[in-house]
Amino acid sequence: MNVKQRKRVLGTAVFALMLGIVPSSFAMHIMEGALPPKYCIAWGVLCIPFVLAGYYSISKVLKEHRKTLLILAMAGAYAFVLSALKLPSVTGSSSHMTGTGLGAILFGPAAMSILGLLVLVFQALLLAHGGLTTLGANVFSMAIAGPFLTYGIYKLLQKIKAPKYVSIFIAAFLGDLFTYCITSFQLGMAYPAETGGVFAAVLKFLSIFALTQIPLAIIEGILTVIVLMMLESYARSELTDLGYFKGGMNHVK
Amino acid sequence: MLTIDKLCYTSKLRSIHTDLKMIYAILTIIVCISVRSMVVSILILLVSSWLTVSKGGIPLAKYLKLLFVPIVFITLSFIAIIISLSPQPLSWISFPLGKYYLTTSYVNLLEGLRFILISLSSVSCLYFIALSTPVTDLLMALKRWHIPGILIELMLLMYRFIFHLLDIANTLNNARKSRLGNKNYPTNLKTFGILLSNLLILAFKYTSHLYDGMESRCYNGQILLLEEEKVLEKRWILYLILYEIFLLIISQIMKKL
Repeated sequence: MNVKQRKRVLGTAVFALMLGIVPSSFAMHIMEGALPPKYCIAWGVLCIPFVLAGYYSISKVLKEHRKTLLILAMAGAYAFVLSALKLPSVTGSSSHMTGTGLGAILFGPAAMSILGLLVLVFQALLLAHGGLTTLGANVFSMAIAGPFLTYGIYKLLQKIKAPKYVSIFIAAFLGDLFTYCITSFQLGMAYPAETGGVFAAVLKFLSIFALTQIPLAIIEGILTVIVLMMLESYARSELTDLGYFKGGMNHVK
Repeated sequence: MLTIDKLCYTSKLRSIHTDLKMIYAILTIIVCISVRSMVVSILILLVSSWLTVSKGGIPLAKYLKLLFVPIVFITLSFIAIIISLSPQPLSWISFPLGKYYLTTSYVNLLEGLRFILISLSSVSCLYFIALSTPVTDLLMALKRWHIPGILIELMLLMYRFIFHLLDIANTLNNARKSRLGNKNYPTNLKTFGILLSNLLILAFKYTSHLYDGMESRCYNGQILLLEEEKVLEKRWILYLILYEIFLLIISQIMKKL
């Protein structure tokens, strides 16, 4: 082996090590039956104001532009397909994007709460990821908390004039991590540890899910940057269609 | 491309009234997660699987494969539930780790097993509905239940678009692979990103064309679908109620498990 080859082998080995422990990002959907009823209801109720706000903001736009219904549906379908595609990984283990970061930056957090709700319903029914009783908890972590944080950080970094792609990466990366923290918190609350209670339980879930989620968050951040770079450079006209959504990337004021 | 969607159209349970199936699945899941009993969970798992496989005619091998989809989540959560870090070793296994012990107790183990059983049986109920009822039937049911029209319309369109986009994504993926787009990891990641952005562009082009087509055919913001009429047999409702009561009684008798 020459130096170049050795470098390549070493590089792929590191990646393989990183990805070998990434069995599936669907690990982050709290599956059907994993939460006791009171938590299902509590998280569901917590989602209602956000979903309602999203619903009103969407229906207002829909009254003015009928085409937005189609665009919105397409955006939802895109978010679904994004999560159904296998991410490239060296070991061939199957992992998937959550798409929360990309969705939040493209469509804005308000639309994302409704889209996320619908996408999660379809994921439960067509892919059996997540579930009906855990819908509230999943919507909160993946369609509300993650996108809102991503969006907030993205806007904040833009304000302080950080390089655009760096801010996209950081926003998507942190949004992903935040989603996973919320999920761990939700599980930890439902299954408190024998010693140390809820706090210890949350820490346990955090550290165990970190194995799969941290490498994935990095990959997802990189992919989000690549996608937005491509779209910026040769799909400006298509992106203007997204300008209808409040807070979306090309939102017309 | 989506196994569940393909299978649910072939299910023999398709002709049963959608409301009945949905109420069965949701009620059973609620009972399952409320009573948190292992015996009841096993019963639910067996009954739902029996309904899906032998009454619905879904191949057993495919069903079992689907049942193991959430296995990663189950395993990781199981580990997180049974392991604890404490200054004293607990009753079952413990590894010393500096001052602390990485340890697990019988109570925790039981809790973990309970978690697995409850999750699996709830998932089997979810599969019962997913593998017997096509999405269009579900949307009809939601319409009857007065879910806002916009959401139903959105879901209907999304359902249509999902398959179209999966098709496009598949083609793009083939193109990517046949041009050595996955020769090494960085290229792989880059071409995957290109695939995703192209997918979005193609999706919007398609939407534009579709909108023009629909507009020229007098689309006024509403898509009307015809619904097949399904009879709701009274005796099934009775069976359903008896079954749930039976589950509740069992859980009361075997309180400890």
